[in-house]
Amino acid sequence: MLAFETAASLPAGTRILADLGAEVARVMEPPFPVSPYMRPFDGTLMNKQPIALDLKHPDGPALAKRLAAAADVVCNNFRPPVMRRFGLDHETLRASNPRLIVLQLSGYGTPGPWQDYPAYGPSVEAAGGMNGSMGDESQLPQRVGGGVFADTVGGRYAALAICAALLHRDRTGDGQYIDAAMYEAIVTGIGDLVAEASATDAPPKRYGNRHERFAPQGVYPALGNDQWIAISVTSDEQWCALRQTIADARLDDPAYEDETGRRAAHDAIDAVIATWTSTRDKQEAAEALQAAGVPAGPVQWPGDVPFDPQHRARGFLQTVRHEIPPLLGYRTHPYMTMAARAIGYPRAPLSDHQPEGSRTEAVLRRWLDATDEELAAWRASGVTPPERPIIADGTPPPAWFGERTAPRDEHFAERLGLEPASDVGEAR
Amino acid sequence: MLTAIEIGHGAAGGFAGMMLAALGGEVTRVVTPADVEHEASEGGRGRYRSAYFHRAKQRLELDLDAPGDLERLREQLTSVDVLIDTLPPSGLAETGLAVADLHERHPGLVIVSITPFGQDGPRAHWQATDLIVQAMGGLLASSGEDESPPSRLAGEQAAHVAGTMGALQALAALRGVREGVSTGVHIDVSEQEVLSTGWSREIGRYTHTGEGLARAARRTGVQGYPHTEMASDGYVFLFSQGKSWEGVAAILGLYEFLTDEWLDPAARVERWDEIEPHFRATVASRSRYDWFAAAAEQGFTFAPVEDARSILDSPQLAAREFFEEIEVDGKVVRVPSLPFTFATLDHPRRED
Repeated sequence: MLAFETAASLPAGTRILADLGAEVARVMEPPFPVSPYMRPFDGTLMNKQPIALDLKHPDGPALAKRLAAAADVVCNNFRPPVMRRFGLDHETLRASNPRLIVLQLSGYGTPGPWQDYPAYGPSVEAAGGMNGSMGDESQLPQRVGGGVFADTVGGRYAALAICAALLHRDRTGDGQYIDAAMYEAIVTGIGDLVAEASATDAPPKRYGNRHERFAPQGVYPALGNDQWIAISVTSDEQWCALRQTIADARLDDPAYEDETGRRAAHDAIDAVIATWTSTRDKQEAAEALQAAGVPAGPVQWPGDVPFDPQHRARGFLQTVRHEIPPLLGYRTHPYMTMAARAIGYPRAPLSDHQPEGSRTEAVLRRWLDATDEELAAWRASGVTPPERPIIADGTPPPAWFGERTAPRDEHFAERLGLEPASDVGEAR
Repeated sequence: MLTAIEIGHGAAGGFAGMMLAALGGEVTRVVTPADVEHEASEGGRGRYRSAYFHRAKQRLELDLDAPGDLERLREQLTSVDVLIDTLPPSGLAETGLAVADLHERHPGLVIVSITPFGQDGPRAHWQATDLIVQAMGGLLASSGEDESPPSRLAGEQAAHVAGTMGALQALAALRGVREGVSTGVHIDVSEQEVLSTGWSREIGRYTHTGEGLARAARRTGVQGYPHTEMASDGYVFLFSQGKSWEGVAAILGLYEFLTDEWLDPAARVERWDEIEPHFRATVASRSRYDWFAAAAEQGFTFAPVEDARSILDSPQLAAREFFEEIEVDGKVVRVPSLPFTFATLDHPRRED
């Protein structure tokens, strides 16, 4: 795969394909340097072969075409006009390699009246109906946290589409042009609400954290600052179990024995539950409720994820040792592996981040049988820029998407068991 | 393209099977008496969900407690490519469909089990709804606004993302089988894990810097102005990643707030009361699509804030023939198709 990728969407999708064994040669977006938020913190750059190819160099597009001719898949998530400007549109690429699968992932999809509109995950979450469907009827539209939800959803669909196109090619010999849109990915994810809206010609009722059928359901305060626990009662049996666990006489009203009665008194029940949860640790409260058979779970912050007992037992995060350079002063960091595994086999391994351009010559040799002379000429002309170090200094990634950062965990490194680098001075 | 059987009534399986069917797969959904009971209990919204998920699938009613029906399913599983399973962990074996037996009969069978927390681990058998998985997988904590509890993502997003991953894994594994490089496998997809990858950036920020995250400030955002405001015909999302207040104010025509005293976000937050009437009035003076287009022209990522009804009127989706029509209770209803097109095939959105 030849992946011209930036931001978070396509990198998330090609990371899955790389985990599945694809050789992904990743090309940075022109012009150099790459966007500063493509930093090696989220793991989406791992398991890939970063190559440096300057598409703005007079020889850049021709070299890209040679690589495309040797690839199974060429994909990009640059703005739609970019690849065409370099003569690397799907018609051109597929003319010389009809078996080639070409994928364009963009915010709103192309063609279409919004095809050239810029987009980021949070904007397509709003446009795709997610924000306006969140919250309850008394609330303004809400926002999805994390900043990359639509990106990762869109990237995953891109990977799905590529797999489908490969199977189609295996059967027919035909390549493919795939146009994928993050915007549509968000709408597909709320298809049941769209169906209801289409049938009733009105927006579906917004339940917020409550549920159409389960009562009570909600997110309740737990012990600590901004700590919460989620609870869903999906049956009368679970209600009995909840009532016994909380052991508050105010829940013993016979009217609460069925869902209708509980729904009618949802606010009063919530207040009692919150009284119980607010003095308890979210993990311990969830464990107590689950032990009684009640669906409950701690609302986890990013700092909880590496310590989640389920993730730990399943080896979901793996520690990667950075060879050169240490990252933000540490030789090791945990990263998420692929969120699926074949039972009986180890999880897909994680390779360390590779400096930009560090695999250029290896890929050119392997894919194009490039000679030493050719490699030297490309280097000299600047079409294959030199390797660039990973941005590994002390600047933390910024809060890009309008979220605020919470107080820093001063002991995160000890808690995570990170190995300090003795040569931090060489971090860049 | 492929044949698949779907067992269990988990929404993630509904999504995964829907995707395989939309890609041209022949997908058969096993419907047991327990599933019928579950469907009946789902109520109004469940009816639409069921119609959306299962619109292109065949239905096979079986009572798996009856030996004849169980054997019939076993037999069917010798001739399909993929089994999608959303039974609880170990549910296949408890149903009489032990993975080893299935693979003995059909070595190439790809089995994809999708559960809230995976097939093993101390919390594998925890009870879950989509809300619980959203809480434990992430995203929930930082979704919403600072003045309220975390806000659940709409729809069933844990099931959605895990269903996509399940379909993807099924296709990848099937390709391995067809190429002869692998035999059938049993793939374990945890909704919690897939959802966690949806905020990889923030988990990475913590593991590299110790920094945490908080929900967006309702009133003034992080940049000193609200991100969601009412336009003349509905809400518009006014945040543009990496862009300055100067740019936003210029698009909105708030030139009086472009002087030095307003450039510091902290100053705007402190004196928001002075800006707010002007801000609200100007945003309310044009439609959300007008702002969307005006911002796009300047490279800003504003967006109309849609809901599940207004999205049906999107000119972009209309131009892309995104919606399919299905029948629910005798009424024609529009539903989304897959979010990508295959341009070289007859049907713009489906593999043949």
